[in-house]
Amino acid sequence: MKEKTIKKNELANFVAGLLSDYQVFAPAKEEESLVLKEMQAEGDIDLDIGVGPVNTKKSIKEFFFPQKERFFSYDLTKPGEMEEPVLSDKKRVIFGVRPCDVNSISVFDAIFTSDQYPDPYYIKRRERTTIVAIGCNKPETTCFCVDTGGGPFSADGSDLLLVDLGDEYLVQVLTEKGETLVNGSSGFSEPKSGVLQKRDGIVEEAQKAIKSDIKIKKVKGWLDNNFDAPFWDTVHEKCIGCGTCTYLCPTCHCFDILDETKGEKGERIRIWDSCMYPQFTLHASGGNPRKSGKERMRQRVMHKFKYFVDNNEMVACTGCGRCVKYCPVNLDIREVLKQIQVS
Amino acid sequence: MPVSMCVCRLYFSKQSEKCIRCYACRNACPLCYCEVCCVDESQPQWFGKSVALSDTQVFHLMRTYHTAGRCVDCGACVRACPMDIDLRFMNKKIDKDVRELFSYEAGMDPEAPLPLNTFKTDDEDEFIKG
Ligand code: SF4
Ligand code: SF4
Ligand code: SF4
Ligand code: SF4
Ligand code: SF4
Repeated sequence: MKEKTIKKNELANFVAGLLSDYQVFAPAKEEESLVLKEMQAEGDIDLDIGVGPVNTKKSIKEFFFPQKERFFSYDLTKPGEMEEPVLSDKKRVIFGVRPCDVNSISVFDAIFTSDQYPDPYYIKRRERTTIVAIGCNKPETTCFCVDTGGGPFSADGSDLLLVDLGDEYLVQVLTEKGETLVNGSSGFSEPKSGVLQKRDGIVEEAQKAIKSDIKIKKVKGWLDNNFDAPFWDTVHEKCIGCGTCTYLCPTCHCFDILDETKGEKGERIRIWDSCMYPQFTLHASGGNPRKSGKERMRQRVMHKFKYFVDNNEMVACTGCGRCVKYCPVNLDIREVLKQIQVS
Repeated sequence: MPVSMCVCRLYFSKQSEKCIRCYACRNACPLCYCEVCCVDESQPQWFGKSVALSDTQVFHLMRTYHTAGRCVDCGACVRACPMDIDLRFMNKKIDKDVRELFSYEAGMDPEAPLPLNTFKTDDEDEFIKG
């Protein structure tokens, strides 16, 4: 892996230089939250995201798996004809993505690029995207990425990873795509002596700041044998069954496919869905195998920390803490996992 | 169209654009009691289910009207919403209308009949007679 440095005051130049060849997205403050926004002109997004919330409210997943995907449109008066959208192949750079979001791409790859069910929409968007991640010097209190196999400087899934060293960034060049970005700019230098040690210190300190201490393997061991445990009877009780935790989650990937019609015209679409909704498993007969909050909460925990591990050898949670932060009833997944851990 | 109307619509659009249709607002609302919410009905399907702005706005208008004269302005929906959407914006306008038209304030008197659930055959307003 190559390592470079870039001065903070050179960063805007570097990103502006990308605008001729790429669409560039970067976190921008909107009201009190961060959103990934397209940069329209040089300097219209302040790249110094060291203050305020660490991560964007919505995860990166909508860049690859939008909330609504149109497969095709049809017109019943023209049988046999359908119009399919042409997916853009414009190259794009998503800048300033946090490690827990880049790590979630492995989860999505496991589902949407599998040999069995490759998803052309997802694959096309992945191919045209380069990701510049930024490590987290100051994790939030809801962050627990170190427990789920990542970390505040975990690079898995990114093309470049920036580490904030104060007046400059250390840039880890991780892929060919990342290298192309770096080669196209003159702002990069070789790291001076002592820089890598400084980085190691920052990484260590950030990791230590995350204190949740969840033992994912232990949790999995319990889940393997406790589908029917009384634990599930009560753990869901305060959940109101909204889709917040799953829609904001960078790894949740469930969807529904349906037709929306108006008169003779219609379109077939794919939209996000959530296992926390009763309709998710509602059968046409009226029967519902997950009829109460108990079965639905169990599904969410089991899918993330058992079934996904069984099928893909990784947990479907990157510890980003969004479900912790935004759950309206403060149903903290870390608490759920800890209760399991001591069971 | 009066200027204030345009501003309200713009504001409503801006707020609705943020919505991810998670329904935390509805699920947290003490008044949303329907066993199957109209947005979840599939036979017939009353609403588009995607985050198309028009569908999202219809959902919000629908919820506002369905809680008209009943919303006690508890703020549960606003607190539940993960996207910081100003959900009280329209409810407050309807609360004001209900107060002005019916001298009624939801939640103040549990015995008082709900203005939009009540009618009198000898009502002096013409429209009620149909
Ligand atoms: S966000 Fe909280 S209340 Fe909503 S479904 Fe998830 S756990 Fe339940
Ligand atoms: S389950 Fe929660 S903490 Fe884990 S990735 Fe999803 S939103 Fe983040
Ligand atoms: S089953 Fe539930 S937890 Fe698993 S990906 Fe789907 S929505 Fe997320
Ligand atoms: S969970 Fe980890 S990677 Fe994500 S924002 Fe927090 S510290 Fe950064
Ligand atoms: S809680 Fe907020 S984001 Fe969710 S449906 Fe309601 S208004 Fe939309």
